[in-house]
Amino acid sequence: MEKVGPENKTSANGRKREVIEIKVSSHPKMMRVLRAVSEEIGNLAGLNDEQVVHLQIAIDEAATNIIRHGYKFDSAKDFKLIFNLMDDRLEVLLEDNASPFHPKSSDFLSSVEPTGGGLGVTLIHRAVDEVDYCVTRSGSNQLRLVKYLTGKEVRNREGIVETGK
Amino acid sequence: MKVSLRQVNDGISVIDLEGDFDLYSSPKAREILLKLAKEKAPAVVVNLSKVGYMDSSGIATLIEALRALGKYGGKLILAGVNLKTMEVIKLARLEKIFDIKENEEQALASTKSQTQQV
Repeated sequence: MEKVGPENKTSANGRKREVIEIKVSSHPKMMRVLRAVSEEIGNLAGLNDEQVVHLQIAIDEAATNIIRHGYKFDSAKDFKLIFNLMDDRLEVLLEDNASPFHPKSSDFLSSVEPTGGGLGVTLIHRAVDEVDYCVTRSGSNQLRLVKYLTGKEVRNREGIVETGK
Repeated sequence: MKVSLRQVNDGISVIDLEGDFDLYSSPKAREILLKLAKEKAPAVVVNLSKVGYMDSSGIATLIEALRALGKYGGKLILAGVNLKTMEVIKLARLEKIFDIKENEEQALASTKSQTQQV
């Protein structure tokens, strides 16, 4: 796992305090490391205990989807996580270079299979406040997860006032 | 993850899981659970007290076992579910689908009372 950062930046969507980037190889063994990192960064961002567990679940399931569906267990591949710590929220970007997918596609919302297919995406949506997917200019898949800090009321991209789950 | 199987009284099986119950390790547990269902085990207690984390693969394994055992009237009981594991079960909205007991002792006691009720 390669760690880059933290850096200090600002953004229009709330003041950005810190940015932490890590690169992880696409091997299921790395999930334990990722869970530990998610917990530490969730605590650093100011999430409460329950929110940290929810963050871990969302990141875990998203990373699992990249390893299983995106890279099909090819451990030679890797993916990137960018944690944007802001005053009112924690934004996590997961970027991979697998074939493009949409997390709401029928493939991902298929019935619950022995390996958890479909259920993982449902858990992601329930665990965080916002989930977006896009393809970046460089052609990478980018999944954006947002967890608001409890008690903070902010307007999301659609202008709707939200507070942390 | 370590997976071990014990047979206790009245043909009840206890599976002890230790470590993370995830994509990497769930196939081991799945193999044992489905084997027990194939043998028509009357009740299987899954002891999760030493599981640090469970992901959707772990949950899916338990759902599959619940269905397989349920086909012939067998029972699946979860014991020793810690707070983090319970949070995943709650997010999946399965806390009322699974039979969850505080610990193995209570789980085994419930299999006896269920047998007596029949």
